[in-house]
Order: sequence, then C-alpha cells, then structure tokens
Amino acid sequence: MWRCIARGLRGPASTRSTSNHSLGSHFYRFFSSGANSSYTVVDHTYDAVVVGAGGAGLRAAIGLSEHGFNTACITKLFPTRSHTVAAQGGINAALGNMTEDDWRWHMYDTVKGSDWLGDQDAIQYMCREAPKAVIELENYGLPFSRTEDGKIYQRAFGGQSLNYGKGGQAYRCACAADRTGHALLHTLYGQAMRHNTQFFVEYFALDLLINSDGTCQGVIALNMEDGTLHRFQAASTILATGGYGRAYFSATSAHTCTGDGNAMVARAGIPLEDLEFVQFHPTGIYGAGCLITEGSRGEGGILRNSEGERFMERYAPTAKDLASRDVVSRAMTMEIREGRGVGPLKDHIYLHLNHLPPDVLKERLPGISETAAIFAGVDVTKEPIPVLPTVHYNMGGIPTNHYGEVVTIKGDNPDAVVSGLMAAGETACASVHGANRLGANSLLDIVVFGRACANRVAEIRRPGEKQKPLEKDAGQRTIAWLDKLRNSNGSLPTSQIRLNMQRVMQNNAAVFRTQETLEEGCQLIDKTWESFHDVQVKDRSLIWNSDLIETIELENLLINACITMYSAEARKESRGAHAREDFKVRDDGNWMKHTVGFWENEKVRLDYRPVHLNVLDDEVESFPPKARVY
Amino acid sequence: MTSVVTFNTCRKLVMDIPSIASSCLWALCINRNPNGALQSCLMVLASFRNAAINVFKVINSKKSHQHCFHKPPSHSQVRFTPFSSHTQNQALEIDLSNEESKRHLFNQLLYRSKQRGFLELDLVLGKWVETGQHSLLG
Repeated sequence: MWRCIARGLRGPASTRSTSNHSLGSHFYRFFSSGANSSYTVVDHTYDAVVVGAGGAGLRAAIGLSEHGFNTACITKLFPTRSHTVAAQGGINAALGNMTEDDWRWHMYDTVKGSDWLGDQDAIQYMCREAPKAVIELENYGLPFSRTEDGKIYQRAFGGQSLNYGKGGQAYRCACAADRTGHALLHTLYGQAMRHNTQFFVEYFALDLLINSDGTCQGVIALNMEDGTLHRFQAASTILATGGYGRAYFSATSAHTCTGDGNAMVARAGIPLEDLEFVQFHPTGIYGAGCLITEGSRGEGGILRNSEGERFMERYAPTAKDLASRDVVSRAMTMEIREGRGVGPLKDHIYLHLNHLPPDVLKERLPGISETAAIFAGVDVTKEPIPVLPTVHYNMGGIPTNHYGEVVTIKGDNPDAVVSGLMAAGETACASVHGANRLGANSLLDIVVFGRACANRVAEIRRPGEKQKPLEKDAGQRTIAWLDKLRNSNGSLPTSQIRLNMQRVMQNNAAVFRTQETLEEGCQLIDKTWESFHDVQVKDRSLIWNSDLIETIELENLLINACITMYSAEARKESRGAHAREDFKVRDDGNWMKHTVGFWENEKVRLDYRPVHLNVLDDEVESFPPKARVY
Repeated sequence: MTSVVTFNTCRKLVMDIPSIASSCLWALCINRNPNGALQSCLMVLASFRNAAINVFKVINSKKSHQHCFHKPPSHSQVRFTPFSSHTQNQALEIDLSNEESKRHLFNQLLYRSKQRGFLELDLVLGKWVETGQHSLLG
C-alpha cells in the first residue's frame, strides 16, 4: 500500500491546487485557503491518528497497527524524549510473584487512594487488566528486574495492601531497577518500529477537526521543520499528550508537559474533568523543580523559615519534618503566605542538611548532594537547599470512559461519547486516580488505557473504512488563530506572561487552599489570561519558530490553569489532593461528583457529572465510600 | 567568504545530543562522589562543545569547503523511514553567513536540547545551548 508521506514545500508562500480529489485516495493534496493563502496545507488520511508518542501514545499506536489499522503518530518531540522516560517507581499489577495477591485488592486500594472519587468501573477494568498488560510488556522485551527464581520482581509501595486493607503490605509494583519509565518507553518505541505506524516527528498538534455534527475527524498540525500545516483525517483520533505540570512555577515535569491535548479538547467545546486534583511533593528545588526525596528528611533534614524556626514542630508536634507529604506541603505554603518564606521574594523554604555529619551525607544521600550541587548550586555540607512544594502529577484531564472514549455532558446524559475521539495516559481522566493517585498506578494507567483505546477501535471500526469527507472549512479557524498569534504585536513577552501564570498557580492553587486564596486566584488568573491578548511574538518565521511554539504552549497552559483555579474554588470540601483549610472534611452528600470545566468564550463554565460507583460485572462488588485514613 | 555546511553534518551533531545526554545521566547515576559526578557531567558537556567546535572548524576550513556541499543521493539510495520529518532526501544546505539560516539551526538545536524528557536534562543541556549560542555557531 502506498503510504501517505508529506513532502512540505520549502517556501511558505507556495500554493497549488488539485481538483477532483478522490475521497478514497490516500494521496496527499495541496490547496489554497483563501484568506490564509500564505500557509501551505497538506492533507493526509489514515484509519487512526495518535497525538503524542509517550508511553500511552506508543502503546495505542502499537495496538492499532497490530489490529491492521493504518496509523499515524504525531509528536512534537522524538518519542524517546517523552516524559514517560523519567518515571522511576514502577508499574502496579497483582501478579502475586512475591506474596499472594489479587486484582480485587489492588482495586480496593486504588478506590481508597482516590478518596472515592475514582470511577469504580474504570478502576476495575484497569486493575483486572493490569497483569495481562504487564505480561505483554514482558513479551515485548521490557527488562523487568527478577526474583531469584526468575519471576518479575515486585516491590512495596505506599498505600498498597493485601486482603482489602487487612492483610498487611502488598508487593505489587513491578519494576526495572529504578528506571521503569525509561525501560517502558524504549521497549514500546522498539515495538513501534516493528509495526506499520507512520511517525510525524516534531509536528505540533494545534487543534482537533470537529465537524458540524460534533464528530472528531482528525487533527491539524504544524510541521516545525518547514512551517507547513497538515490536516490528518482519521476515523479515530487518540490524544496522549501528557500532563500540564508546567502551569505551576515548580514542577517535576519535563518542559514538554504543557497540556496541549487538554487545551485542544477545551477549545473544541468538550470539558476537562477534575483539574482541581493536583498532586504535590513537598520538596522540589526552588526554580528548577527537581525532586529532593523524602529520604533527606528521613535522615534528619530540617525545614526552616526565614526566622530560622523549625516550623514543623508547630504543625506536626510528633512527626515534625517526617509528617506526611500533604501536611509538610501545606505547612511550607502557610509559612510562605504569612511572610516567613526565604529568599528575595520570600517565596520558598530552606531544607537544612548542613548540621548532619558529612559522612552521613556522603554515604546515605549521595544523589541528593549531587542534585543540590548541580541544580541549586549549594554544598549541602555548608548551606541549606532552597525548596518549594512541587507539582508531581495531574489527576484531572480529558474525561473518558473505561474504553478510552472521550465523554461529555449532553442533555441529560453525563456520559455521552464524542464520536471519533479518545484519550489515554495523564492527559486523560478515566478517573482511575480520582482525587489522589496511588503510587505506581500512573505507568499502569498509561499502558492499560493506551491498550484499551486500540482494542476499542478494533471493536467499532474496520481498517480502510470509507470516511466522511472533511468539511470545506475544516481547520480554517485554527489557521486564522495561528496567523493572528504569529503576528501578535503586543508588549508582553511570552516568558513574562508564563511566569505570571506560574506564580499565580503556585501562590493560590497549590496545596494551601482557602476561599480567600482561591477567589483571589480566580481574579488573578483571569487577569493573566487577559494579558495574553497583549502577547508579543518577535519571530515571524514558520521554520523552527520556538517563540511561536512557546506562545501556543502558553495558551494551552493558560486554559488548563484557568479551569484548574475555578474548579478548585468551586469545590467546597477537602478530598484527596484537594485540601481546603476552610472545608476540612470530605462531603460525600454534596461533592461525590466530578467537576467538569468548559472553556467557552474565554471563560470557565463549570458543571458536574456523577461518579461511577458501579462495577462492570459480578467479578467484584462495589466498594462503598468510607473515610480515608491511614 | 561563504560558509556552507550540509544539513547532514548538523543533523548528526544534533542527533548526538541523546547519547551525550545519556552519558550525562549515566555519570549522575553511577558516580557516588558528588564532585566526581559533577566533574563527569561537565566533562561530557565539554566533549559536546569540543565536538561542536571541531565541526565548525571543518566547516570554516578553506581546504574542506569544496567538499561540504551536499549532494542529494540518487533515488535508489533513499531508504524508507517511518519518520516523515527526517527523510534523507530532505537534506538542506545551511549557510552560516545567512542570519536567517543560522537562526533556524540554532532554534532547532535549542528546541531539541530543551526537550529531553527528564527535567534535569532539559535544564542542563537546554541552558548550556542557550547560553552558548554565540560560541556554538560562530
């Protein structure tokens, strides 16, 4: 079969039209687009298109190709540079290699960890499929660590228990040393090379192509290398674009995590779900975001404010600096908000290790010493490390069902499927993580739902199916928007607006949340969004225009940030990662529901859809809500 | 004097970044001595800089100049690749005396250097390329 390979023209002004284009043809064509005649547009047709080439995207692409679908994978960076590569912990599955285990116990722990906001049907699906998904990865060649008798090694992780919480610690986290994400990504990349997937590397996905009846027919993307625009028509579009950690000032995410898929969906009129649930780690290096592990506090590290006070003694008299992550994070943020932060802006905290014997640091915390030296420029034997609560994961994202299909509220139906559109990985919200992600479930989510998307496409589509033609104006609004953005002549550079946004999110919607902080945050984020209209893009080129790319990413982040802020302000309870000082208890009567945030006319409109307490079948019973205590 | 470099030469340089990044990461992982790890990391980056300098020395050499022009391979030599943006027959000539061409190359290097997947590598390599643009491209 002839493959559709785009060969962009060099000159951005070049145009050529082709008539009598066959609808069934896979040949590309060029066309002039009237008011935007300066842009070259190339058309492609595939059975399926995947946006994003991280763990979830690659897994979906492999599955689609295995099922015989002509598949394109669009990615803004080389696949092995996706952020999945950085995941360390491992992937949960009830394999039972170390002790007796059962996927139902894993399901219980996940539901509990989600603080009962997780959809139990999707959680059941994920936990039941986990062993199969892991065995498939092993068959693909993932080099799991091994037990002495050759089984996949599994280690303990927090929140994992046996026998529905009554049987002690579970050893459920399958790992490849401490580089599981790296191993996973490279294994999937290798498999993708074996299959019939066409990669479009360094193509930036701009928008979905939604037709007049609400069906998704593909995406429009920008080839960063030559400046051409590409319309990818496909019966199935799968988004796997990762989280939006970069909306915050301090994040452990790679710089690629700009929530592009989330924003594409929001601009298409589809809501984003549960964005208020953001997971933080208390100690990330200020300014860089690199993680300083809890081991540092375990070895005697002390957090001090600008007055030199060991303030954790006030917040957690017994555990002090070894209190749980959320307690430490909130305490740090309260100190900062009350003016006792350190540094010129009084916006971070010092982590002291310099009172510890150098030999202890060298022997027990060598990695931390290196990290602090490189990314904070401090010698931990002499100086404290500047730290700040740091975004670690986004539980919310594009709402999906357990098949990976994107859903929205339509009339009385809170689970209406958006035809042709699917999502998987951190960008998606199948709501298996609910209000708080269980450790090592993120890689599982990636694999299971990437796989689920492919399997679902195979159930409802056939390779080579005739597709309804794109509407005449498909992508035109996006081209006009791109043109307007590229020629922005305001007074504010992208970097300044981005920093403002990040400061607002860090100060007002991080771990310390009250009505006062969140109300202020809504006002400030609105002002930041308004300031985006005054953005300045200096570079007018279409070839490797990083100024333009970063500006598009900024808009994407701003949309995520606005919905996050408003969602958090509206939820008048504490649940999982969303902890409010003024509503300290979980309120199942009023708030056992998912927040959905629509982006309409540059404003956030909130609505809600019910949590799925039902399960898929009689293999397991639903777990009724109860207070989350550890 | 016009300085010309083939895209393949620059692409090879850019493609070396992953291996250099991996070496940097490896140094961080295996070296238990903090100063040693930092030194190893800096040595890796120094190697990258030296490689870049050597490439541009060759580019600017009069003797080598005439051999730097890119000759597109014949059609039968073009190898199929699943990566649409990296087909060999799309090789470009980049004129380093042309500011637009130089800027495109730098932007490409910068973009790829800042997109390494690991935050730590984004920071180390990205900032190094960003601050070293003048010496890197002459």
